[in-house]
Amino acid sequence: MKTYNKNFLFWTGVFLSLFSIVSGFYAFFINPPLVLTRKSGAHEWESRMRPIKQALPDDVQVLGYVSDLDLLINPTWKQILTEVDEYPLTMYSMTPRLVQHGTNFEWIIGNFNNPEFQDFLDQKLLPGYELQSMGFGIYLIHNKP
Amino acid sequence: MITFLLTFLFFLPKTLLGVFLVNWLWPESRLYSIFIKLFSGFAVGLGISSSFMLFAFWLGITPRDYSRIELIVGIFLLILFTWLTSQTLLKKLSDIFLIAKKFFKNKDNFIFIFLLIASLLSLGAFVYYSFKHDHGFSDAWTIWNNLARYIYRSNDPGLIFDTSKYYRLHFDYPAMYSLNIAWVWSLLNKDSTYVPVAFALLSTFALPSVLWASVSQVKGRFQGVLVTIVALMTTSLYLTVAQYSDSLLSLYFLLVGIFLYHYQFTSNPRLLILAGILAGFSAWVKNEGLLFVVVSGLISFYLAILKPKKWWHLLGFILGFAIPLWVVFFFKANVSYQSDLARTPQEIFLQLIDISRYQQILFSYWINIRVFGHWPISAAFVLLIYGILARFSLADAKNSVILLALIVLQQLGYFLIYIITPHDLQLHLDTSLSRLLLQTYPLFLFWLFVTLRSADRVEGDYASRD
Repeated sequence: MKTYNKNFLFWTGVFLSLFSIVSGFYAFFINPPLVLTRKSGAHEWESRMRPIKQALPDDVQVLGYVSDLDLLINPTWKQILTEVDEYPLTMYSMTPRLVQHGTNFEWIIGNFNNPEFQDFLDQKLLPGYELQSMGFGIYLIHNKP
Repeated sequence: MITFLLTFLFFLPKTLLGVFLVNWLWPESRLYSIFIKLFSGFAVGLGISSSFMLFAFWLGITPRDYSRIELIVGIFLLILFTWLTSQTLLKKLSDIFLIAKKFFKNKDNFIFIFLLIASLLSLGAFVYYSFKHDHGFSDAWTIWNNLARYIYRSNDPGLIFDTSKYYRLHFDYPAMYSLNIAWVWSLLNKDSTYVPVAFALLSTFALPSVLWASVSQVKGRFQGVLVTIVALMTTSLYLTVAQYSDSLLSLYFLLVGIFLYHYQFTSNPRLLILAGILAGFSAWVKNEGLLFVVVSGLISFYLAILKPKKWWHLLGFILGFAIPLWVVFFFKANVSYQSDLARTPQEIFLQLIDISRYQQILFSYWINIRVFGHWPISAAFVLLIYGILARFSLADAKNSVILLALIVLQQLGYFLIYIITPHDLQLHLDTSLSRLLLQTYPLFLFWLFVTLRSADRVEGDYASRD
């Protein structure tokens, strides 16, 4: 290979390296993907579920889960997408207990911001159920048989 | 922080045992081969450890008991193998130190300073964002760390086989990633988020390390440093910080490509066994690995029949993937496997003849390739310009055609799956295509940089490699 070719390849390589470093710096720190800069919510959800775990009896293995989405007849995509994160995060936090969607359980986690949720619960649950607020719209419901 | 560092230490015995196995199959001791062996050892070690863990559960051994037994047996075997090979090992180590000394004495490479800067930036960004998102992103909560948590917190060996006891978005997704995380948690007796962060770091930065060693070996140090800088600065942080298994999968794909590439020059059938083992274990990382077993099997078949009277070498590849693949099928059979891509022939036919689907997928490929790496100017465009300037070496292009075939066939397989997917096509593309591109990206970089002309290596000269 001729010398000038080697030199050309060398300096092209040096330029590629420098360009990569500057571009990478831009991609990592100046304009990173939005998902990296905003909160994922996992940490907050772990904190929100902690009081539930403390309040639950040790022998409870399966829980129900209901949320604002259950109150809506035609939920919007935005509402559905919120649920896409919050329901799995609830299941993830409550591990190894199994969380299943629905009200046919003795213990249920409620995740509500809609003030009409109590009407929904009155219709769906047994009379005399207990509702304990855990803050941030999270409720522990004891659907006593 | 101690947990973070301990995690690296805990992965050491299984990695070194993997190195012993790889070294037994491929006893080459050149400097760069040793680095490739180290990361192959990591990949093989993860696969073997998680396979044994699965069978331990099947036998009723609890996660906590198994993790301790494996660590003790692993350390014992490590001491035994080191003692048995101490004579040759000491000689090899002294040779390595001599080569390394010579390597760092060479002062003509100020570009190493760029490599150092790139490493610090990439590692710094990864650590910064990983600690900010130490639980990872949604697939970590619903698939990978989720299963690991159930295993660790329940300490129930039967749980993984009883899908009524736990939730996982896809029960049939392979469990290697989750089992390795659960293994460390069980040893530590706490489910610290530092463990998956450390594991993601190892999986992510194994890739530029392997690329550095493999490209340096074939095309010289300068080219090796170049590819490493590009790989470091195009690290897809939003997928690696996420604690998804795609970067780990791409490590298996890359290593298989490297071993197949070397096989075509050496005709050493043991390299096909190694390629087979790694291809098989790729299917134990993610379902896409099943397709890769077929694709790499086709390439191995092509390479074996090209060589006169060497067709039987293909048996090495089959021997390699047989056991890992059996582990995958054993797992799937025990978790009531049901594919989420199942369709009737009529539905598949209708989608196959729908031209708009092809256009939609091609357009998504174009968009995802264009933004890959998130550089201000598309990294694909920059690499294209670099390729035009540096030009392909015809001899090396011929030698590396199998690497290109691996990438193209694998992506063609993904393309076909998109055509017949029962899910909303755009949603399916938006949620998965960037990950599928990441899976073959390191292999693409390996192909590109061994094919382009290098400033310090004669083209097409395999024999002169380090």
